[in-house]
Amino acid sequence: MTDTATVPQGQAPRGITFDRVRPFLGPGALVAMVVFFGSIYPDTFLTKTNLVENILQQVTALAIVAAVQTVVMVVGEFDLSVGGLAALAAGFAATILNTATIDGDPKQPGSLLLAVFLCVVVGLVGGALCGTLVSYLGVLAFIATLAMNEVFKNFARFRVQGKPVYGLVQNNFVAVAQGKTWAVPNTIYISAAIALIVWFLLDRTTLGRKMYAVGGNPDAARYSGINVKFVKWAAFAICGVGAALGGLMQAAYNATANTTAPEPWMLKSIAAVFLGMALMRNGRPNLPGTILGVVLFRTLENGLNKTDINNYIQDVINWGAVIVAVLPPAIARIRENR
Amino acid sequence: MPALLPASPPVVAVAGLTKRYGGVTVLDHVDLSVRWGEVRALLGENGAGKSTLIKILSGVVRADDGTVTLNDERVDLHSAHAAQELGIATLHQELAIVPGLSVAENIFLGQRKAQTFGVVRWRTLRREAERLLDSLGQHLNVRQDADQLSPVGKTMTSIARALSRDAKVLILDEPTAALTDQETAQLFAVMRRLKERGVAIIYVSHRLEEVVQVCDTYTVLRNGQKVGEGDIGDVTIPELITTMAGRPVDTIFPSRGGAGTGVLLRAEGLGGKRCHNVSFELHEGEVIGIAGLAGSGRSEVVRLLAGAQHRRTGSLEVRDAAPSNVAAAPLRLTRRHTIGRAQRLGITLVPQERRADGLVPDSIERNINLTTLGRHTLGRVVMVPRRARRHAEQRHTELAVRSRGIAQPVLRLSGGNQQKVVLAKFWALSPRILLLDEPTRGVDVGTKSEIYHLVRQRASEGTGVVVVSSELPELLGLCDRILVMHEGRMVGAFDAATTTEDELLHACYGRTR
Repeated sequence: MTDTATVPQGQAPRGITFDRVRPFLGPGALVAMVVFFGSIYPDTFLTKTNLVENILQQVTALAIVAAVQTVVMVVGEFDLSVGGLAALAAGFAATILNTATIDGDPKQPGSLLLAVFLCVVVGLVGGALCGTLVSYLGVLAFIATLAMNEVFKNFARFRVQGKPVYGLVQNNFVAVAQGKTWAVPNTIYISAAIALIVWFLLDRTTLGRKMYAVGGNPDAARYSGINVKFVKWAAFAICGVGAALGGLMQAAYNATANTTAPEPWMLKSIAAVFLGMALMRNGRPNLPGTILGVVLFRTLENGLNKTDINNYIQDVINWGAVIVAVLPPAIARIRENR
Repeated sequence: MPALLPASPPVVAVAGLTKRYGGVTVLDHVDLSVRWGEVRALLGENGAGKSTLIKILSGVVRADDGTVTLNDERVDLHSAHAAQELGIATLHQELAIVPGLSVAENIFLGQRKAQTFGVVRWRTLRREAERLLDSLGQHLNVRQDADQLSPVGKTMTSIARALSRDAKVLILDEPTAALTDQETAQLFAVMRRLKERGVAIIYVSHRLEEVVQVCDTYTVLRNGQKVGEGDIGDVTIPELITTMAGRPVDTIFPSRGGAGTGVLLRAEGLGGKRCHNVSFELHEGEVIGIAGLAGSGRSEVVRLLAGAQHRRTGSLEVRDAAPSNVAAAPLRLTRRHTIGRAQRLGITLVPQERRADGLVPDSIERNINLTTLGRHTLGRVVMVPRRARRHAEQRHTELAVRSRGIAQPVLRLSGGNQQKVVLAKFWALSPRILLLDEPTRGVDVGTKSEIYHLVRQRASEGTGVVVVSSELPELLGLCDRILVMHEGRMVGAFDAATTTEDELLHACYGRTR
């Protein structure tokens, strides 16, 4: 069929299409928001303290959790247990470090290394448990991770006897989290490093490619010789570790392990991944998009906070904005099939 | 062939139909009309524009230019619903049967039939459904879950649905792809009844033998343009093929190479869920075909070999996959043999359903590289994008995939090119034992021929090939030996050079002569 070799197959986009402008929408919205709120509140919004401490620093823990949530969503599942697992892992670490309450002996604080190690192990085991349920035992992710979230959270409450664990100041635990390097909070570096690792995993490793294949079409992945169950399981295990690290970092920053603090992460992390899917790479979950989603959401939240708008209405606007963001690609997808 | 009234006006006519996607014109001022009781074949290779034309007529895609008239009245097909209301019914390759609903419910899907204030009168509904099926000469249990029906039963249910909406135009898109020959005959009988009622039928199929049998007229598209039309009685199949391809296709099948003597694989007493006690040997450079009716266990044989299904009985021996080790001691495979392990042993299955099992919704590059990720890496973990791209480019060229480049999303390619991407992905594994399940389903004649040559080329390099197909001419033309399955058992082995289609067909039905 040499005579048809010059005929291109499929569509050749011409002019301005949604696919072409999509990569600029997210950063554009961010710039627009900063300019908008900055011009109204130059003294409160457009300050280094607000932009760095109140916006970026505030989402560092969520960014870690959203990054690993991306991994699970790449394989076509989701993890509702991130909040509970973060609370559990932080609780375990905190009771070891702790000086004032429960098991910890105030005169003999536990080793920081042991605490961090334990936290990672708890995250890994918890994530692996969810992964086993979903991948090897075939329980739907919705119910498996929803139930595991409650299991983790209440086990955490039991561990800390329902009270926040205060005063985690020894062994530089808090000092690292609250400290700054070159005038930027350390937590931002830590989050950025973890995000970079996740990006590398998804976009530059064979496991990442397998994950995208499994999420795109598990049957085709299986026929290509990919161990689909293991890849899904690994995604949950990675997510567990990330959730634990997010919980630990937040506990360190607040010098308190509080089982209720990570609760909003479940939904916010998933929303961030969806925002990222809407803004970049043709509707597939992706790390840069997720991080952009986290920052966008927080910037809007922070900007609205400066206004006189009723607090509840602020949240109506925040979440309404999420809907507005995911609409155009959804509509474009319907149109594409016309 | 029934005589057509030359003066009878067309039931449906399209004029100057044009559709562009971006810069590419996929339909270029196409005219087509079908008269009362006429069956018109719509022919063309993949990417010729047939699918687009059908999509426009069924209201799924809007034309950029041109008109559609139904019984001399210009109509606006702005949605699938509008097309159905106007009496245009389309039966796609993948039939729209809702699992879990009965046959009767499927027939009246989306219609307010036999209801009193929204409450369904089941007896009336079922009686109506039976009446419709009776009029087609079909006797199905209308209470049955429609998903449990045979492929032909599903087709009949879909046709009954079209009739229940009083369809004037029926579009059949590859209706026989999933049917056996007997079922195909059943469908043709129903089509003749529909003709008598005056339904205008547009028939799309790659199987030209059937087209000649059942159609009255034909229209050929190539690259979005109409390149031929006329009465089917005035042309021959080779002429049709030449018109479709735009050049003569002299040799669809490559010449057979000599099979070697070295045994690559020995199956003994192989059994799974639906096949039992299958034994055969595959030699170097040999192409074996497996024939059988749908459900005969023909696919299961290769799926067992490939580790896609678990073997229950029997043994499987493979010579070491490495070319240098062919003479080494055979390797007995364990029962828990997975697709990944099979691939590492040099056994590769190209699965049957390319959309469902072959492709991920990503670029051509990512699809081609899926089986060989570890090769384009540092330390088997870190991807080196440049290497991955280079490898995909090579395979892309090797299999002559026609696309705008390896970055193009694979789902935007035509069926034949998608199939080539799937083949490229498995070719990359350089299998010693290549298993193909329906490798040319829904693929045009030109691409089929290319695929046959690619398979033979592999065989000439020493690979043993097993092809499962529902198309007997394909097996006869491509294979050295043909094994026939019937109700889960192997009922015969034939030398492809000496056997006939008739003989194979008899064996498929479990009859011996």
